[in-house]
Amino acid sequence: MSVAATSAIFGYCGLIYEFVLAQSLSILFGHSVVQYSVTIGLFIAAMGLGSHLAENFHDPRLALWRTQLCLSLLAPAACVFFWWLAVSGHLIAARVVAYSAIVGIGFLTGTELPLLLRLRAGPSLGAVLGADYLGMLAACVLFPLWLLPEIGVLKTLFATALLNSAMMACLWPRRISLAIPIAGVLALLIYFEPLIREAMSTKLVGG
Amino acid sequence: MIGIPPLAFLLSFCSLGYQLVLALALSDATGDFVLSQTLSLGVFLLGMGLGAFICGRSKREPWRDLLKVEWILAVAGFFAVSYLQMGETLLQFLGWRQQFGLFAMALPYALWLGYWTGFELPLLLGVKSGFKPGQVLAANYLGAFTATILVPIYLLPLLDLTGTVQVLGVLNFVAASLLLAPASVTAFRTAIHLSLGVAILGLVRLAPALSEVHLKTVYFSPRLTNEASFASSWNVLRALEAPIRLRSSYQWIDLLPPEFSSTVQGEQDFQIYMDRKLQVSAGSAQRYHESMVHGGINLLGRAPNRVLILGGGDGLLARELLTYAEIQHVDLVELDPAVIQMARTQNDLKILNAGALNAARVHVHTDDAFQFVRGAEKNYDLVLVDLPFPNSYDLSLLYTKEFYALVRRHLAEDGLLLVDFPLPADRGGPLPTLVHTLRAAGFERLFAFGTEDFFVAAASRPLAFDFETLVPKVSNQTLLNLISRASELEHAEREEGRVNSVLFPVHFGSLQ
Repeated sequence: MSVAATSAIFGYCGLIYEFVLAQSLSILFGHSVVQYSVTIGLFIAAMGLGSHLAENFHDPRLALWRTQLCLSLLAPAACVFFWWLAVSGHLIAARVVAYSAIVGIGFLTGTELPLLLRLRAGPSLGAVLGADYLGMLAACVLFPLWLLPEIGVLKTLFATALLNSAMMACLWPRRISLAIPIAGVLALLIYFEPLIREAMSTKLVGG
Repeated sequence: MIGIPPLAFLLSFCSLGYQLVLALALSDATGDFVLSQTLSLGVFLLGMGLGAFICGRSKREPWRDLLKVEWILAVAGFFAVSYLQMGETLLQFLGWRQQFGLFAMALPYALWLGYWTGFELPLLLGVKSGFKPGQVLAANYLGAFTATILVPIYLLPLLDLTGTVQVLGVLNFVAASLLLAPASVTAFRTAIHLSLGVAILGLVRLAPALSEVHLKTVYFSPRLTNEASFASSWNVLRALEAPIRLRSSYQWIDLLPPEFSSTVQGEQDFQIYMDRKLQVSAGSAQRYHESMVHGGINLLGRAPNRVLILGGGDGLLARELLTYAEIQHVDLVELDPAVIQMARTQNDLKILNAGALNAARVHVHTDDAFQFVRGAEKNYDLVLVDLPFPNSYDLSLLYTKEFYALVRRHLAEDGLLLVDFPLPADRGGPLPTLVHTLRAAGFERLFAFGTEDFFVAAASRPLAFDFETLVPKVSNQTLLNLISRASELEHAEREEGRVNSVLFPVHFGSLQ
């Protein structure tokens, strides 16, 4: 798979996670101006840390594969976990998990671009960066206009993680046996999303 | 010579700052927060993609090219808000008041800013400096991080839009000046650079006048349609006292002096607009607040003991409630401290609300309404919801089934919820969604009323006005507003409509 296309997908997934987290925090903790700023700020700072430390990984392809593995597991698990904590009234625990999730997902997202730049053989530096921005463009138009109102927060989250597991398969086709079960679980989560959503909603209003 | 990482930090800080301000200025003008933010950020990123791509297509001299890019960005950023204000003023005078014109003007500008911003990172990475790409990227992300925190939370309430881009523009110019040495620019060109920069900075003096004309035009625009000649409108406009604009952390608050409305609408009226939507009008305040308070209490069928007001920081609902001696406790929840401050100190508003926020029975909470009802411990007999319409996803949260269900849990058994909704439209409109959402929250009986202002009451028992007790309570003007809108309600119930919920929200668009 081409480096530019991979870069676009990374840009897309990173921004979608950022939006899902910011939206979740403003629902659960209120004061959305502050929540949006804090989420985006923490996320970008963690990305900075990630891209800084990415230089230390020796094998860029293996490191990227691991990033996708971690994201496809961590992002949905952490989000569902802090949602559940928050709607059950454990607000402080929920905040701790939520902010850790922002830092963790931001860190992983930040490592992607420098690693990918090291993998680059054909396309220019500008083309890889350009593709990354295009992926972000797709995310920031699709999220508020289509994903949020037509797909919903949770299904968007699971689908993005599914995309990460697909990237695992693309980066390292020989280890596809690990990507398939993860994708399967995420597909099940997407199928049962209405049930999870209703459970969260009922719990939130104290039913 | 400056290190690459601090430079990367400064440049991304300025660029993202311009983008944030431009997006906010566009939201202010169009009233559709979601679309404005999305499209301007999207087009900005598209521009960045293009810029980065074009930059990579040919051989570059990083320092010299960067100097050129920063000059373009500093100037374009510095004038971003003035450009938008000038453009909107012109559109108002030409009578083109659709959102389309505003987007057509702002989006190419965002694309232009994004395009040149896209050059920054590849050029910085192209400098042979000994810094690793990861370090440069890290500094770049950190600059973006600082902008997203600093600009909306600190700079905007302090400096408003114009001031913020001016500060960013100056910073950007300083960054450009730091590039002079590494780009090995001649002394002559350095002198030109500096004097041109200072000359442009001198134009700062024009900005307040432009902002004033812009703000006047925005509120004067209904009059522009009737006025035949441009020159006469302009002369009337120039003579008017300017509205006062405040920027809080949450919204723009505009106070319109009475003479303004007498010129535009023909009657003297003190008005307060929040995010350009009319929130308080001395002329119609009595009708609106009497309808809500006396209408609500009449539907409840008894004088309430405990009342909750969500929104309504202007204090006008509280004032009307205080006319009932039976009410012992009023909780008022307002998000924006600036509104409460204004209700307590602004003279015209204090006359309207008779200092109700200082009354012993009124308890003011500066909080998010959703969080307040989640944490509320006591029950209420009457809950009045007087919030801005759901023009953004933040506000949409306060129109979800979860929000209404939380309110219902804090209602007394025979309690009543009364919500201010947008007037029903002939086709489309948000009413079906809002009605289905109230139903999904468990409210069995709904009742709609109001010809000028539109309210929906929700409870668990049938609702109807008892005009015998209602008539002595209200003015004639209010009485004309207290007309049942059962047919619109029935129509909305029959229509298809999604339920608005927190994890699956509805995009309502711009509502007046």
